Amino acid sequence: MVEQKLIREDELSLVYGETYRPGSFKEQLKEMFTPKYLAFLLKPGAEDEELNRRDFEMNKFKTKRSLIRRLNSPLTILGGLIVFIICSWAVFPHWLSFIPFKDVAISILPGTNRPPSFEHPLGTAAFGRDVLGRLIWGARRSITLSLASIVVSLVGGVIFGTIAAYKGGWIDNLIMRIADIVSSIPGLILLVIIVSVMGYDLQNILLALGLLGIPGYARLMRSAAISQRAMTYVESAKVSGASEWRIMFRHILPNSMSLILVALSFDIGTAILGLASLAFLGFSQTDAVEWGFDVNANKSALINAPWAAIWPGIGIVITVMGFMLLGDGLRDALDPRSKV
Amino acid sequence: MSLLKYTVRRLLMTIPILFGVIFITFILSHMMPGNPFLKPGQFIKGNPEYVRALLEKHGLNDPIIVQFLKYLKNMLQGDWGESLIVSKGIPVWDLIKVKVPVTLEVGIYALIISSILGIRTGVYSAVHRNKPGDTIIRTVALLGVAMPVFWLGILMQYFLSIKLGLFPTIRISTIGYDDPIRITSFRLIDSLLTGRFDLAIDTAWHLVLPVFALSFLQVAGLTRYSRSSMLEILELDYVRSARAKGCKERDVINKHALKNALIPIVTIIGLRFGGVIGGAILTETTFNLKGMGMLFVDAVNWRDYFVINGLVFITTFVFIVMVVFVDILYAVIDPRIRY
Amino acid sequence: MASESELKDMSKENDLLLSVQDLHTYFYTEEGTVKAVDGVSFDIKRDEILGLVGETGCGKSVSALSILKLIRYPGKILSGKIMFEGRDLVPLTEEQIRRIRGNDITMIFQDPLNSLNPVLKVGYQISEVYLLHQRDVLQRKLDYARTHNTENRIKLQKYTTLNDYYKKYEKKPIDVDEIFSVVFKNAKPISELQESLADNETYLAVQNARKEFETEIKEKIRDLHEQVNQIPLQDAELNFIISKIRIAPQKIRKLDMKILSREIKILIKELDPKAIIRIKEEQEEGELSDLEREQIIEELTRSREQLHELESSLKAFWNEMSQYDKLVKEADKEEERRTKLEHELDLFIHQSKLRTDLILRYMQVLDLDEPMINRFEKEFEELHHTTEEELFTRKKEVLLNEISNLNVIEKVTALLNEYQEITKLESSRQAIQEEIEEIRVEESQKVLEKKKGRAKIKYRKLRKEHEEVSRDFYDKYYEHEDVIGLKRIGFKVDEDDFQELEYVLEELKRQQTQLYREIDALKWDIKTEFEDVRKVDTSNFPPKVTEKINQLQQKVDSVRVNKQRKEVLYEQLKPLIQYREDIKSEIEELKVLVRKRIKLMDIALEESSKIVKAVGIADSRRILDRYPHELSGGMRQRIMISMGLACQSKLLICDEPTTALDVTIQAQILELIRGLKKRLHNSVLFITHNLGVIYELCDKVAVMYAGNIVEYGEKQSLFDNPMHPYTHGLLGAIPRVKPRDRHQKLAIIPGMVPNLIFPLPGCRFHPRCEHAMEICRKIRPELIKQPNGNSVACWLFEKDQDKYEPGSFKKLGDEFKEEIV
Repeated sequence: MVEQKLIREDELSLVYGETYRPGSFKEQLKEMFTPKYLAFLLKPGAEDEELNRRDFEMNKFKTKRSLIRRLNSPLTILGGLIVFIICSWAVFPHWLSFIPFKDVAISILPGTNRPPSFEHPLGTAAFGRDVLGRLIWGARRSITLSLASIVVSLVGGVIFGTIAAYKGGWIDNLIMRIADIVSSIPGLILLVIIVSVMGYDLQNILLALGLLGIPGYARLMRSAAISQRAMTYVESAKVSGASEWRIMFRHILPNSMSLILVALSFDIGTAILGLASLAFLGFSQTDAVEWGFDVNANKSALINAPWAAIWPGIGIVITVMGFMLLGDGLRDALDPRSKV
Repeated sequence: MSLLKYTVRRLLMTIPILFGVIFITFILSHMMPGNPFLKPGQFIKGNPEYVRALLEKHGLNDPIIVQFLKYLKNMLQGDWGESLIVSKGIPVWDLIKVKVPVTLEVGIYALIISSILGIRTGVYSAVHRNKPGDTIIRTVALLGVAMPVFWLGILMQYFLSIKLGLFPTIRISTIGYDDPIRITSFRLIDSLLTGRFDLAIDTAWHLVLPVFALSFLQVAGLTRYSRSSMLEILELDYVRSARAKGCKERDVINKHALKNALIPIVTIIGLRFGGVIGGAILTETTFNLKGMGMLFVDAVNWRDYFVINGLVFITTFVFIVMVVFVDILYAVIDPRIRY
Repeated sequence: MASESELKDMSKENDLLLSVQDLHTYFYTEEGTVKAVDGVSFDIKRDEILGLVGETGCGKSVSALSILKLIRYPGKILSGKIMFEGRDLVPLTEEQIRRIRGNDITMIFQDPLNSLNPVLKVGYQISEVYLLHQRDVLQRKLDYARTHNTENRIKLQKYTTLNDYYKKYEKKPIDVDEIFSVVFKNAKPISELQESLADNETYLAVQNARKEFETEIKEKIRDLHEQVNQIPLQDAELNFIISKIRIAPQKIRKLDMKILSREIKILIKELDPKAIIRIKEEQEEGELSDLEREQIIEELTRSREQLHELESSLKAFWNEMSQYDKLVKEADKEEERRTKLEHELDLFIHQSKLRTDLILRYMQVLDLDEPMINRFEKEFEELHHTTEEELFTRKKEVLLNEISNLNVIEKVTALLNEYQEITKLESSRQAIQEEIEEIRVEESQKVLEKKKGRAKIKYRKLRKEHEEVSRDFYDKYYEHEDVIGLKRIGFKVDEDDFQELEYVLEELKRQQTQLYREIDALKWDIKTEFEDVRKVDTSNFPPKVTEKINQLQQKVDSVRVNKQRKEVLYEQLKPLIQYREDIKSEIEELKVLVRKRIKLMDIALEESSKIVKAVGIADSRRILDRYPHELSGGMRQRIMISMGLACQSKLLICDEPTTALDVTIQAQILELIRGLKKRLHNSVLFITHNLGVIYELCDKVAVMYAGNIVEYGEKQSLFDNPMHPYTHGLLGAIPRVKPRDRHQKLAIIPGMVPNLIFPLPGCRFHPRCEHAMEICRKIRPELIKQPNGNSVACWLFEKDQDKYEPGSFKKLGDEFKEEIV
């Protein structure tokens, strides 16, 4: 009888004697700071035969590696960088811009519509306000409003969507009908109307934006939940005695999240644009520091001072782009099969 | 069930939605603080008695339900009320008739251009994947999607109109030019049909900037979408079989892959056609074109109830009908779906 | 690079169709470079089936796709040669390989649902292959069909004139004089045309010249072909080439010439003596003597001269071909001119004949005896060709007298008129009868309406009654129930009253059921009786109506139609009438045929339906109109096979065609492939992981593992005597069916599929091999031919063990044991 010999994975090293075995912690640290290894680590797309192989062998079964490695793409990093900068403007405007809030928003200073100079790197707008300052302070409103409204949309959408999907029947029908009605009126029009009804305060605009986004997320959540519902793990959860709520929120929800996460990142961009459009049309507070409002207000001075109207727009574009790049990268990382 | 039954059923299902829309807009517009004759924050012109009398005259003092039912009844008979303050005394229906073509003109030209261009660029981008052309197109498309329309309009106004003086900034005709005879109430087409080429050139010259601004955004979105749709299709097995048969690459892309990829793209374009009326608000305010968008903004500002309701209704109606149409179209052009 | 000796070698193995030599195809992915195919070589002869076996991921599909160069980013064919009919496919451009794909080499894939385009009809997809590769053949067929159609058009023209002509003379008596005058008018052009067609020297001269030149050209082509390709040209191929040259446009011929001369130029360049000397020196590891060098230079210059000669003779040949072209064009023009003249002549004769034909038919109607009609026919024929006026007038008078003596015209005209009158009477009678019917129906409907109305009123009344009665009934019923309930509890109830209550209840119930029955009967009546018009009694009509009906009835009765006479007349006039009916139907058919403008696509569809029938699908026409998702899996796979056979390709590559199908359908498909191979004598490269299929179908087998071929040879010897341990394992892993084999354990090959990005050095299989040796993990074995004819890549079969380091051939097991201990 012939002996059947199995060479197990961990015995490979015995047979070959040349597989890489990491040494002690100190040795590893020493190795990390060699230029070869650093280049391999930091440069995206760097390849080295030996290090590649070691890397591969060490992390064969770690799937986390692939996620982070995919997020390594240059465009996604750019997106992340942009988002980081804008958010820092939103959170710490008084540290990053050397102009106090009142000078940017409230006071009326001499020197209206001055061209860019050393004091005012991007020029001044109406009432002598610094364009760069308004750009930095304006980030706050855009980011907070859009993020907060997204949260409102998300929470509402998730709740309604999951309920509709799981309960079915007339509840499902009713929720979907209302969603149809809300989504068949063009967004901007409905937004304008609701904001006119509720007034131009911060929280009202937030609420309005949030409400408008609920049908979209509800539908998304519902379709994801319906497709998950049929899967066997729901049945097995039921068999083991889980209650309805538990099934909904602890089993179905996490699996539908990846779809939602991707839609989220794009919706932040849309929310920012919507906010800017609203401000441009004049449906927000006149004393707020808002990019869209700036574009509108300085539109009339376009011939003399184009910088006043153009730079806030650039701010909008770059912010939205940053979020979209981040969203693209996230989508590629979470679902490598989808291609953009 | 047959296609006809399905169509009829879908159309019937839109009626309750339309009813809901009318109801909600009515309630919301009447919930806005103020009334057409007295905006909040406005100084009182004359005595409140006068204002109340005016309200009474137009039936705006009755309870909401009564007003709503009256409005509904009138609406079904064709009387959509008249504008109270924005264009005093003119029936809403006439207003719509005049203003909608202006919006439609810009919107439809932009749509046609953007559909053709968007699909072409998307396909090119998908076919030459990861080459420099693709990267450029993707970046530009991303920029386009991230831009607000009004900002692009202003940018173009500044550089092309003020600095270089190539195109006019606003309006659709320079002062001194009169309107062509109305055949289709599309200014460009009418002027061409009546032989007034000077008018046609002038209109086209004015239309370049708004149409470009609007279509740039749409092209960007469509490019991204058709690129991803096309990429999905190009990986599939039947594209490989077509190549194995010996088809020219050009035919593989246009005759085999594109036909499949076009199905979802066409539905998206159809939906855009449905939203054409409501989608031009920002462009109109930037370029000061006297269309539906500007009318809507003014109406909301001045609380002109009937105008608001009429505009929202017609926009939503067109959109919903287009949605049903797109569904039917999808069933017709995809041979895998048969009723 | 093919030197003269290599060309000769290839001609010896001229039945070698495909030869893959040392193919390397890598995929450059994010994870690393996947070496999918790493040094694969195999050959396929003509009329042979080679099976490619292996596990999933071993590179079989990739090698197949590489043959047709269907590898796309991120994959790339790195190195290697793929010789197809003596031509290397690897350096070909996209344009060139496109002409081979689907034409000489076709491929069918695993999943037929996804391999067919879902939005295009099946017929279009199959005809696409024809349109791509056999456009000229289709064009020829199209021209033929269209000329056939022109003939139809001319026929239609003739028939319509005939029809109109007969129609004209149905109503009025024919004028024989007029007929004859027209005949005289047509006689002249007829004779002229016949003259000009008779002596046509130019036509004959051109045709002869063309034929002579053609025979010359054929010889030349034969010679050239032998010179270039070293194999003789068969007749069928020669004719095909000639036809292709005739039909294909100038552009394609120029391209072929460019390609040929380019190849020759490349060959000439490569015959660089210095390079060859250098190569030879490297091979023999020493300098060559002057004599040898001179020899080489001489040989090469000779070859070069020969190639130059070849090139110039090719150029001369192509110039001659243009001469041939001109001749062919002239011949075609002449042909056209002649056919035109013939058509004109035909029409003139036809027009002439029309006139006299009518008279002959009239004679047939009167049933004159046969010889007399024949004589008249002959006389009329002579009349057609008489061009001299005197002679004509004389003949004409004679004939006129005869015809008037026979009273042909008058008699037949009288018969025709009678026939028409009878038919008129008949139709008018029918019209009146229809009127009567209409009135009747109207009236009965009115009666029915009234009845219905009355019935409905009664129905309503009955229902009201029914309701009242029911209401009373239910009141009493609940009372009754209450009383019973009370009784049960224990209350005392007056028995008389109770009895009365029950009695009343019964009475009401009876009334209720009776009313209900009446209502039901009434409903039934309303539905059926009152809808049927026939059940109405016609005698109850109002007097006016009956009067009218009687009037009309009288009219009908007064009109007497002599049916027998009609039949007799019809029998007699049959030749005339029947002939007209036949012409009418013929015209309808021709109209349909002529209206269709035949397109290339129609011809292609016809061809596709033929090939679909050959693949075993009945009702091919309807199948072509379907979409892929409407067909079953077996049928889809058959259609893919038919696409592969459309151009009678020489090599058919099947990439696991049966893996996705049921076993029964699998058997059918395999049978189909076998049968087609017998008929068409093509070769097949069959890829699968199912060894049973391999045994059924293939002649030769190649076993692949991790991108290399490990064993290769004849099927029978492979199955009887597997050499490589992997083949052992594969064969041992087939589940046994026969009872006596079942006690043997299923052999398991331990371990998993290897990693192709970082392949282990040495033999790819050694981690899972039970016979692994020291050398196996160091050096990769090559495919070596064994005495029994098969080749195997394994160090177990290395004869010359001394060539290698001592201790290389020690089994790994021993070392392993040593280390443990």
